[in-house]
Amino acid sequence: MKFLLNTGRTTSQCSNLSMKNSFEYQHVVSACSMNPVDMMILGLEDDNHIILSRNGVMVIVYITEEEEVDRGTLFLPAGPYANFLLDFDTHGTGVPDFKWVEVSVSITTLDIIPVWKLMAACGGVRYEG
Amino acid sequence: MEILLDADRPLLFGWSNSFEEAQLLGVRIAGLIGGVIDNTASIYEGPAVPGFEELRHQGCTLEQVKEKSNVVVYWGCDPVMSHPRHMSRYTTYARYLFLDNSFRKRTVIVFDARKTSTSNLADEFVKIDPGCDYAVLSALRVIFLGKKDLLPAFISGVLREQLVHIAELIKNSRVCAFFIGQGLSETRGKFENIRNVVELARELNKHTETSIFPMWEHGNIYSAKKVLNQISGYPSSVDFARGVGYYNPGETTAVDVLARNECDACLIVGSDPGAILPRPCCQHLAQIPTIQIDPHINATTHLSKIQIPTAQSGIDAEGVYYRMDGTPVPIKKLYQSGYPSDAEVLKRIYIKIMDSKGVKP
Repeated sequence: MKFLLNTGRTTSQCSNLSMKNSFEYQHVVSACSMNPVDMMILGLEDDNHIILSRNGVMVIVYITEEEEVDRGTLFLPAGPYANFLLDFDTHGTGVPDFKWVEVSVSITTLDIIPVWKLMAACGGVRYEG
Repeated sequence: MEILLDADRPLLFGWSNSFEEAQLLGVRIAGLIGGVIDNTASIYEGPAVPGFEELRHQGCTLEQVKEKSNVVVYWGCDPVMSHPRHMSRYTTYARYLFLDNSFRKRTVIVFDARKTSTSNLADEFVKIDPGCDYAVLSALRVIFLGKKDLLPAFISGVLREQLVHIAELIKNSRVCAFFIGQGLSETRGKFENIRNVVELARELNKHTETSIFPMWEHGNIYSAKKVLNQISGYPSSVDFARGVGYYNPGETTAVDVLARNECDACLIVGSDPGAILPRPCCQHLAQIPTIQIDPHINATTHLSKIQIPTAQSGIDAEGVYYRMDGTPVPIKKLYQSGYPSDAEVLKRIYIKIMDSKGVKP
């Protein structure tokens, strides 16, 4: 099912900015808000894991119910999970499309991967110091 | 230092959580090695910069907003979430001299594509279809020009009568402050949206006093923009490869330089591109020698070849921060730690580069 993904700041995301490798930060920035009617149609409940995919790239996040999110849209706090799906095309402005990108949603039982694994998927190496 | 000197096209990125002193050294290093220097303003608030530069909008301080404004407009931003102290210090909940009971008498108008915590507090909430801010801004300009009959009944999901009512509220205000966020600068239209807001403010200034504030989200991003502007003449994304500053958004911006696999070394100071840049940029950062100068271990640390820990601004390092209205604020440190500040680290790098280039201070 296709959705429009919106990203933005939240207080809990900003309060964990200095601990980006912590479970708390991972939990906050992988919380994807969805309208309860859409959740019912997809057969989802709070904390269920979903795959967001776009242009062959996918990322696993979990669902939270949010009545204020419009039907057909999703809200994900700005962070590595949201940015993993973004294109680099800036249309000559220097700014990628952070808002309202189309993503596909599917249900999964796979675990959410931590931030360092996302970076490892980009070619990075885990810093364990 | 050797990584930067050996690189053909180094990129120096970040600067939004550094003090002014470190930002100044960063621009000097970029000039010496002929690199590209960019700050996070180019990604988040970037479109606001050319929009403001083109039309030369003159702002005011937040204290003036606090003391004088009786209409506050938030467009594409959610300060309750992103700037938690903003409304209590400067707008909705701030008491001021020239209006009794400011909380009830100050009108708050929110324009956004989604319901937010701020829109729940607003006197008027205008819900715009996603990516259609430009049309609504243009419709408001038409109303201020006195040609509302030309508009259709609905403009991008907004009822014309609601816009007319809001236009009257703004027109009859004593001072109106516009706060614009990434919901406006990152959505479709980007810097053209900002240009339209500035044009709107210009039109409004015929009726009332109007000022615009971008809701800068990174700590010291105003300073990064200001320092670069003073030295090179451009606020962000400056390429010194030609010996003089060259600025072209879409070509010299960090996202484009990284996505085109153009740079062969990267120095990151006071920022976390691993968490804020798209995946292709992170992939290139992992391939090249990336040096990170930052107090925290963050997402970029996993992409870096070298990480230099520094003191945290305002905790164990002191310097000057700039507020989003451009007011400088000296920041003291709480205690002395063993870590150097990023300015001290950059100064050592700068001196070594000067020595190797044979440049005298």
